[in-house]
Amino acid sequence: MKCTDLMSSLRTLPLWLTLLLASLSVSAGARPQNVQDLAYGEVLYDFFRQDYFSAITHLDVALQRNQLPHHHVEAELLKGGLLLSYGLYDQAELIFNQLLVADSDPLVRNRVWFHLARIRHRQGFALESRELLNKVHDTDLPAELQDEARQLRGRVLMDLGEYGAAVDTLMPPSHTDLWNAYARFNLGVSLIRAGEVAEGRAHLSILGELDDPEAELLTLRDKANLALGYIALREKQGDTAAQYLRKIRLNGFSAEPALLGLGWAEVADGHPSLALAPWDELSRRDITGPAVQESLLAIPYILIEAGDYGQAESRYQRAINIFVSERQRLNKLTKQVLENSVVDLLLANADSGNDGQDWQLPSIPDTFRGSAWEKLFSGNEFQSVLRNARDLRFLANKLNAWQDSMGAYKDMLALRRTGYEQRLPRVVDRLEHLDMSAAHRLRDSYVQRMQQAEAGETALPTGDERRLEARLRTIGDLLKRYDDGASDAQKEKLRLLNGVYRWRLSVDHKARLWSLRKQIKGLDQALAETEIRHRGLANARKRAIRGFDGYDRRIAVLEMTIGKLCRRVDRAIDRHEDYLRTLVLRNLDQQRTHLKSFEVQARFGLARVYDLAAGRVGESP
Amino acid sequence: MNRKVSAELISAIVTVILIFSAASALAQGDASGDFRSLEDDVQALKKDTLEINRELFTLEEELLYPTSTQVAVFLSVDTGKLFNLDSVQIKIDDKTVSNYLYTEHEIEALHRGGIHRVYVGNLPTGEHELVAFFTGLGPQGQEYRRGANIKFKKALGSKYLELQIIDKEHRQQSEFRIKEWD
Repeated sequence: MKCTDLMSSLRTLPLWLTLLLASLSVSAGARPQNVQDLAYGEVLYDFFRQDYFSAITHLDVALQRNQLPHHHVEAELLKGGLLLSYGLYDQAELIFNQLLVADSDPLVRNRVWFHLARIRHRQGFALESRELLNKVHDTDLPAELQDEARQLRGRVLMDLGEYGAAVDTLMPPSHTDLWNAYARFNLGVSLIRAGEVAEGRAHLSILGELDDPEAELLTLRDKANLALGYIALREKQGDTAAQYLRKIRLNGFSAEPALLGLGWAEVADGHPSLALAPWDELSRRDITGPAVQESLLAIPYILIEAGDYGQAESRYQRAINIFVSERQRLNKLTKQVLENSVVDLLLANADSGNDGQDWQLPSIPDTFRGSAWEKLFSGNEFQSVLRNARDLRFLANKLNAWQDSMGAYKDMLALRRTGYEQRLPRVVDRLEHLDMSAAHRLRDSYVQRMQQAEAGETALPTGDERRLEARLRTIGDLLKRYDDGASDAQKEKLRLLNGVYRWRLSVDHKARLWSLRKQIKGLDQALAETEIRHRGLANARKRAIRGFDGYDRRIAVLEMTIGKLCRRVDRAIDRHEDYLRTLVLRNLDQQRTHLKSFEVQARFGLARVYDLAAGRVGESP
Repeated sequence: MNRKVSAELISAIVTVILIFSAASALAQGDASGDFRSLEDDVQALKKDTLEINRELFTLEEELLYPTSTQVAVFLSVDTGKLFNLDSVQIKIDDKTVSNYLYTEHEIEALHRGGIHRVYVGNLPTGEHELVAFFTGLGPQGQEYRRGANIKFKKALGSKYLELQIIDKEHRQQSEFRIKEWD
């Protein structure tokens, strides 16, 4: 398989394994005849079927049994990759530390450290990620990964709150491709957070003007304009803010805060009536969005300013109804979260496959719809805990199945023990009645015949030939006894027959000798094998009893270990459930508090409308 | 009141945008202690589960297929351009021991260099014969069935046989071989 074929065939694999295997292209993409160890081919079969759990087990067993003499290094690297995909980061790192020593291929070494750093960062372990990135020489990475590596360094530093260092790392963003756009965004944010607002704004402005149909770049452009718009709003520059916010797409992730900000920009710019259009558009969107909820309060506020109390009252009333109904929905959801497995609720849309660490949170179930959840669900820590919870269920299922199968192991052992006890007397009887000394005597007589034949003392006639020789001898004796009566012709015929007989023996002599040697060799082997078995049987009888007892003990230990592990997994599942439940309930609580506060503001607003309306009525003639 | 609220809100939104709305996961801080403890716990459990699985695997193999009688038949495929394997039937000493129908996913794994253990069983020492029938599609998409056989000697150790399907480009057809492994 060509390298390009290999790369295309690896597209569906987890990214770090794809790249790792690309570095092992000889073995990973090799034709079967190039797989020099069967066990390695078997591991690859599991691996390519994405059955990583079986692949690790087969690989481990094969390594333990020294069945991979030709693929040892690749196998160890593959094991590292598999352990990574299975989430055993520490063990994987240990393997890579041992294998990726200074003299190994820098391309492979740097790739592996980089991917590990990326995984660690995705898990939320910024410190570990930084340590791994310190091992990476960006210049030894393939060109397409260099920008991503720099971007990752910047993000890790930002995670650690080191904005100054992040700026140094991300500077200067040279191009406008995806990774550099990310880097520029992060650089802009880092600069602003480090107090260099003008410089940060300049970088975000470049992104805000991007003209590229790439979806990710469009999202980034929206985010940059959103940040710029809100910074301008904070500085009370309504006109500038509106200019940025108007560039944001109405169907993107930033649309809702953009519409809200646009309204406030108009207000700040002294055109409150113009704020109604974006807020009205916003108020018709999904109510779970905080910006949408905010718009429900902002609209009647502007209506009051415009003196339209009737509309303002109606809008406040509508807002109160929506807030109350949304709070009731959240109350129901809280009850659901308290009464059910939160993992079940969150994974309602997940498939049942086991896709290792590349597995992503499936689409959020409708129960948790709304942008209020996005921050929580997209967090590294939340994703990792949910992924772990899912993995733990997989482990629990495996362990339960194993626990159920322990009976089958006991049955297997019992069957073997019974079979052994039934067969043993027959085998012992047969071997004990075997007369080995007779077999050896027979073999010795053959050897003697061969030695005589080799010395030319005897020929090697077959049974028929020996009978023929005996008949010729009898005829000769008769002719001697009745010499007078025998004719010359008869004597001549006998001489001729004897000659033919001896000629035949001498012609075939070498072939007969070779055949006899071969037979003796075969006999020697058979005798040796029988003697080995004879001796082996005695040992086997002693070992078998010990072996059966050994299996009994192994099964008992396994049963106990599985039981303990089941309990540990159950406890870990509970801890993960509790952890996720706490995060979800905290979020629900924040949403409810938020809604309650909005409801209170709406009621105050409503009271203000009544007061104002009452005041105007009082003023009228 | 609303003007004050909106100013606070704007300030809060700016902070949120700067902290959380960056490309991918930005500035999320380092992992919490609780999370680290959960992660360590899960890694330890996964490691122990793998060890048990390895022990169960060897135990099962030793109990069901002891080395002295074990015979395993593997299947490997070359590029698969000239023969698209569908199924394989294996007979040992004239007795059908395995009929295996491959899925698309499995075929893909074979084409990438994977080797499938089609059959594992027990045989006494001595002479035996294995016959394999391969069913699939030829280069023109026509269905065809081919066979291969081997006489082999089972000694005291495990016996491994590999069914190989190899594309012979110059002959525009596949070759079906059986290889004995020591």
